[in-house]
Amino acid sequence: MYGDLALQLVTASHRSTLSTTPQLPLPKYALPLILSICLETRQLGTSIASAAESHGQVSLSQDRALVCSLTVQHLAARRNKRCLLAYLHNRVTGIKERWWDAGGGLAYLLSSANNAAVNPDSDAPDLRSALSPQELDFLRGYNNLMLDYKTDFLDVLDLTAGIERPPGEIMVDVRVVRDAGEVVLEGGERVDFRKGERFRLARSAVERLIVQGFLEEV
Amino acid sequence: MSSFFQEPDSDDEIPQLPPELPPLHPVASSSRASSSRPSITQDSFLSRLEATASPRPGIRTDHEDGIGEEMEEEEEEDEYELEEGEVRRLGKAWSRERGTGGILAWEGELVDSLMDKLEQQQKLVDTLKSDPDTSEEEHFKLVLVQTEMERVKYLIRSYVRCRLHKIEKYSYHIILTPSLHSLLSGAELSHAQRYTELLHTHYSHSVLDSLPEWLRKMDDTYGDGLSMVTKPNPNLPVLIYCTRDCGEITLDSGEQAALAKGSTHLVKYRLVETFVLSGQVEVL
Amino acid sequence: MEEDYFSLSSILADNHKLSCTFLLDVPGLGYLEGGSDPNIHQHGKLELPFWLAQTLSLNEFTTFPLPPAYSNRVRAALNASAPSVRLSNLVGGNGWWYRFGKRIADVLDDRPQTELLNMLLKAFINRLPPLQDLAAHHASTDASVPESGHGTGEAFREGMEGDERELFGIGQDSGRMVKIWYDLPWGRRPSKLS
Repeated sequence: MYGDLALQLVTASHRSTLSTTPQLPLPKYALPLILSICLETRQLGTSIASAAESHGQVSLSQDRALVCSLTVQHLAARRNKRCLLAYLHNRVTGIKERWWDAGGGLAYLLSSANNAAVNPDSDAPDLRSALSPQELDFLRGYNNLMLDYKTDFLDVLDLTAGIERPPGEIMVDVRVVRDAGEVVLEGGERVDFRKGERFRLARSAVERLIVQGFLEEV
Repeated sequence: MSSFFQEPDSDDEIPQLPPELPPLHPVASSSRASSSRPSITQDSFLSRLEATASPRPGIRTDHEDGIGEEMEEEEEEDEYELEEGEVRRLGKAWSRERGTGGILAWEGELVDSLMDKLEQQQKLVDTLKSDPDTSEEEHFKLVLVQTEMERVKYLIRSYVRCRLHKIEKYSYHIILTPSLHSLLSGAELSHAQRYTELLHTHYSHSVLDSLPEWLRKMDDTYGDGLSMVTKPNPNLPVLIYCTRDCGEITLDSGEQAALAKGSTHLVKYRLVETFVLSGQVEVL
Repeated sequence: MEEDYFSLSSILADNHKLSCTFLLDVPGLGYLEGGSDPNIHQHGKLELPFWLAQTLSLNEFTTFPLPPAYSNRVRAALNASAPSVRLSNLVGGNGWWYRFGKRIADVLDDRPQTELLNMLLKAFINRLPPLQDLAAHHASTDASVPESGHGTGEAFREGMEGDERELFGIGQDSGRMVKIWYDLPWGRRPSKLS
């Protein structure tokens, strides 16, 4: 029955949005299902087009049964479109959320190190393999968009720093657990983060590096 | 009041800081020998600390106007201090933005001014921090200054991101409605445009191009009223506090509601939109 | 609960089936029934998902009666004790009773529309306080609440429909966050802003 496949897509997608904490890994992109739904929709389109051609204008305005039949196909096609887009839209929301959670660190977000941190004991796909090529393009595009937007503010503040809570202590003691190389901090200061070294810095400046696992709070 | 500045070791408890820190007053004259660099005078800072009885942001009291006046006098003395008035105004704009569903006007002047001051104050702090002549006491005060700076940065960050979220959510709608464009900053409008394109490309490449040609649009409205373009819902309720008497409004049920000064209401946004925009009521 | 094109909940709610009667013969549409007959016959009844039923009815190809989920019987039960009514399975397993009701109301004539909307509103208002209580309780402990009367405790929770379940989840989370915030030592109180 038309729309059944689309329903499957939406039901699965909805299930994965139900839990808010902890954040579940993004499920793998349902490519086979999507291809099938697109195919079904194209077939509906063809069917409608050929019926319109073979019956001509008069029939279309007078033959109620024909109009009913075509309406059903038309509605089914639109339903498929809606389900497909809702599926994509919800994933886009999840992708953006994860970007912001990672403090805008794209490389980190897509790395396997992030995956280990986020879901240590599952064999769920890491983010990179869960995304479709188009979604990966979107993520990169969004990253660039946000980097551009950030620059207006960057000499004073980092837009991607956390907003979960208003700031408490200003300074934080950290130890470098992974080499991060030379990093330009908020405000322009350059620090060379080498493994094993300790620093006392403004929390806001290094929060992102803590989130990404380069630094550890001591 | 015994000042914790004078007895730093006697108290094991965390000192009770007032909810809002008063702005710091770098003043040219100082009690120390070198007067060529700015420093922090104990007197002015302490007296401000003691005098602070700041009400919660968003709730005006009778003191509000008094403090405002004070601010104006001090303003000429030093242009670097973070004006309490400005921070408070941003706080209100932030609250409004978070509490309402639609897009409000970008407070460009306010944000620019605060950013400038933050930049200046950071330079000041950096100078004082690296100066070996800075006393321990002054270092401690610097911490307080920095704490306030962090709070303001947080506010700006949260404000900007709240707007970004809405802009992305309603990006198609914004692009299609020129009358909304003046509410956004130049950067925001550009972001809306580019984000819409990014999204459209994504949808097209993912599915739309694989669908029949008549199904490829992103801005359809259907017979039953459903539109593909997500718009803000003016019927979403908003929690407001009336800072002054706003008369009566008629609710959908026909009842009247009196928006008296000091009263709080949870009401559909479109019924009180004008009051919110004019600042007569505040969003909690 | 606005009708959002991209809302998964709305899409799922629209999928609930209605018993429709066809007002005309439609050759070739038999596949909707899934049976062996390739054609639909006038007066033939079949179950159609709302997203089909709505437009077909508006164009007078089909009609449908008010679904049993919104019948007078249900209204009477709600009036007696709103929390006692199990809304969760009235519109399919874990259905969306309010949303679906609203969609139905949209296609009704004035008077039945007003009646249905009032029923939905009254039910919601009367079920909200016990829902909030239960959510607050669950926020602080994970113990189940025994049924102390009709429509209380876990029985009520099981009877919640889709949107109520979401509200419950939010209430629970909020309660937990407030508790965490209260328990923090002063001076170090992050407030979780959503």
